Amino acid sequence: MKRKLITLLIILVCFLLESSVFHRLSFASVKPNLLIVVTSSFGFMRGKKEGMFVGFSAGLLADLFWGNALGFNMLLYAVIGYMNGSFKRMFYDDDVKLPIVLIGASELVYGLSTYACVYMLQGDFAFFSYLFGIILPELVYTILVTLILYQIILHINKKLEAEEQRSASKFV
Amino acid sequence: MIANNGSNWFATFTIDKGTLDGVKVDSNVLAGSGLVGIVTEVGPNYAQVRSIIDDASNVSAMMLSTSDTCMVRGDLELMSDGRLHFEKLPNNDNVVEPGEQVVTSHVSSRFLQGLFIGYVSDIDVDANNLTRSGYITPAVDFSKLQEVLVITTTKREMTGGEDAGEGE
Repeated sequence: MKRKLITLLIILVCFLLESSVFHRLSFASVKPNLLIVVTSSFGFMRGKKEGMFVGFSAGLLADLFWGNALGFNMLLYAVIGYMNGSFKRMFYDDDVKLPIVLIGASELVYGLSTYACVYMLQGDFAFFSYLFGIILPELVYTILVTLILYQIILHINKKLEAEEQRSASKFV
Repeated sequence: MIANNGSNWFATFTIDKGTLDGVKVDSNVLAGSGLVGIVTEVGPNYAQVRSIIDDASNVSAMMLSTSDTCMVRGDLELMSDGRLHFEKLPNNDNVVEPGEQVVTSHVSSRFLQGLFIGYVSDIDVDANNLTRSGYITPAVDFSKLQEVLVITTTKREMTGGEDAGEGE
């Protein structure tokens, strides 16, 4: 129960930060995508199911407030969370390369899918200008933010796991 | 304005007034002296506004001095420059120069007439020789929006719904 509340709180905080603070901190008018970082982190730290639920809630928030069609972001983030969850076995606490690679890949998939569904299907084929203008700058900025945000999420996860281990051992 | 869009692909924002304050869908939104956008969704205490620089936004506009109509569209590629693209301006004898003021036209079904959009910065004749197109520098700085003004009377109310049968 406590884990669910804390997870929801992290998603909410990142969502609020993205809506307000990061608009001012935008670099070349590009903002980082914190919800992708949160979804991917929970995905490969906790597995497929939890990654999927985190992705679903993050995407739901994004769709309700920012998107046009309800369900587009929801589906995309849920799938990204699920895919990241399949990397759980390769994940070790002190490794920082795998998280960055996974988060970068997730961000790229998000950018390409958004372009493909929202712009390409409407006949807007200026792919390279969007690639260099939006997708790549967002990727770089998100990876920079990951270095900080991921450590915070990892720290919170470790503390929660330690508490759960302690309460599990009490039942013996 | 209480929240921006967190995604880089859209330019919408949320304001803290809603149906309880008289805001309706299709209410025009201004800031300073220029047009900012139009309300797309509204709840009791909030409303979502789509800026005119958003890729999905189209505004029917006209040149102030000649009253020639054109379409002002937001474009994702120009969003970071803060510019707008306009097209379908008739290629007639009326001279339109950079610096010309662009306002919303009287034939728009969603925007009230005469709202200031921006200044023409570039203009070219299209390959078909029938229309002209170019770029507009908007009057409003979209990266620094804080407070906006919402006109609660929608165009449909002002025209009394009589124009509903005429062409879009």
